[in-house]
Amino acid sequence: MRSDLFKADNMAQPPTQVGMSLQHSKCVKYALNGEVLARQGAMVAYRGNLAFEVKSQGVGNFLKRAVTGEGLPLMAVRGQGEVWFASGAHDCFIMDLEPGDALSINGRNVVCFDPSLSYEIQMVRGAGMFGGGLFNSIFNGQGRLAITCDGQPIVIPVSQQAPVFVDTDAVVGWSAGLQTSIQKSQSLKSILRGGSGELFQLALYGQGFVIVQPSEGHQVAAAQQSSSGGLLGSVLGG
Amino acid sequence: MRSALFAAENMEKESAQPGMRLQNSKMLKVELNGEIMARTGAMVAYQGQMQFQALGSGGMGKWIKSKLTGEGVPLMKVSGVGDLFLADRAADVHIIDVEPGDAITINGKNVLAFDSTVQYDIKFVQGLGMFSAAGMFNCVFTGQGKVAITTKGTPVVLSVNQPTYADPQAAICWSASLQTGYHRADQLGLGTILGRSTGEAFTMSFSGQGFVVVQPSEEFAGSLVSGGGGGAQQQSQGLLGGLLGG
Repeated sequence: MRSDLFKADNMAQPPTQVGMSLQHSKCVKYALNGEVLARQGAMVAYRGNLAFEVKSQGVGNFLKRAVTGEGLPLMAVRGQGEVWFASGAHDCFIMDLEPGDALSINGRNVVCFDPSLSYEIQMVRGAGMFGGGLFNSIFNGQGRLAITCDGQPIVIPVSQQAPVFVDTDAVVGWSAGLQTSIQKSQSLKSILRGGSGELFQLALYGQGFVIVQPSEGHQVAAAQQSSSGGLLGSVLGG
Repeated sequence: MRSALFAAENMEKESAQPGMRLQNSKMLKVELNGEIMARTGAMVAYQGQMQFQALGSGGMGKWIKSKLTGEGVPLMKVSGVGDLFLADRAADVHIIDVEPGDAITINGKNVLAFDSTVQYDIKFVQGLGMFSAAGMFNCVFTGQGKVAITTKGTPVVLSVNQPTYADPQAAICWSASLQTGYHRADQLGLGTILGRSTGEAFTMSFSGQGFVVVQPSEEFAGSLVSGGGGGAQQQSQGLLGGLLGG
């Protein structure tokens, strides 16, 4: 059988080193010897001897998740082998975090991360109840984190002189040192006329950067579908 | 008028040789002189003299199978002379050359078109049972010719020389000689019974010698455009509804 499908870019090669790497722009490969944490349902393929477990995240994070509906449903993948993660054919990027770095990322955009990173769910300051559930995951520590963007992202530097305003549906994450608040940019008159579709923006002040994806789409649906096995399915499947 | 839209790579690619080729990564161009099988609704444009004839699933046996299983490819036969453009929701298109002796299993939702010299049949996927959301039946293609498939995003091709596992919604096609099975990677514990699942409860296992093509997305691709052919909605109608609805 012959096809362009089998060109070198698409073929999975044996792993050269342990850890996270990009298989290509849409797919993350993790050569595993130990443990990796990933968003539930993000696995598309694996080989080797691996076990998948729901990652318990502590009472605090559990409560926050239950109350807010936001955050990051996690699974721990343990064992030896290779595993491929992807999410909705979105573009994947690997972030290297060094000690002292802190990154605030929307939970839906996280694919997987080294267990050496620690993370916590935080409410975005100043966001209040508006802005479509603004709870982000703050990552710090040392290690690598893989995120997805629906389309090619824009990274905008934020400085003291030039605050940046972003759509809350399109923002992927920002350096955690930034201050945030909600901006209402529309006059009452404009709202009465039907609104421009841009009711609230997230304003970012300080020194750092913000990552924005060129899509306001809702990408959560795909991940939820696959976890709908539920009680009966899981028990029967056992 | 001037625009980057009219760049050379967007203009129609002319070629003297009949057959399938990629117009770009998302669109298939068929220089037709004779006939070709295509998924119903996949045509986006054509030039020339062509007839489109709905085939259903291709025969009585396959019709019953496809109604019972929700799998299969809703097909049309396109015959005539001219240029035919096929696409499915901007998914990436790949052409596979099938040679005599080759057999390839493809998820019905991901088949875009194939030469009429290629035969296909609906086969039961071993070991998967009732649990797979992706459908426990797949299409096996044999013969000689070209098959065009769609993937959402750039795929990964895994060569199977050790046991390999894939999410059933992400596995697109594999060599038909592979042994498939069903594997639980999820740890069964108290948490699982309480409904906490990693979302990886059912994975397909592959063993033997061959390859597996995996797409970086776990969505159902292609079922919207075709209005059938094994999407989630189709299967949920159940056996009787499927037969009556046909």
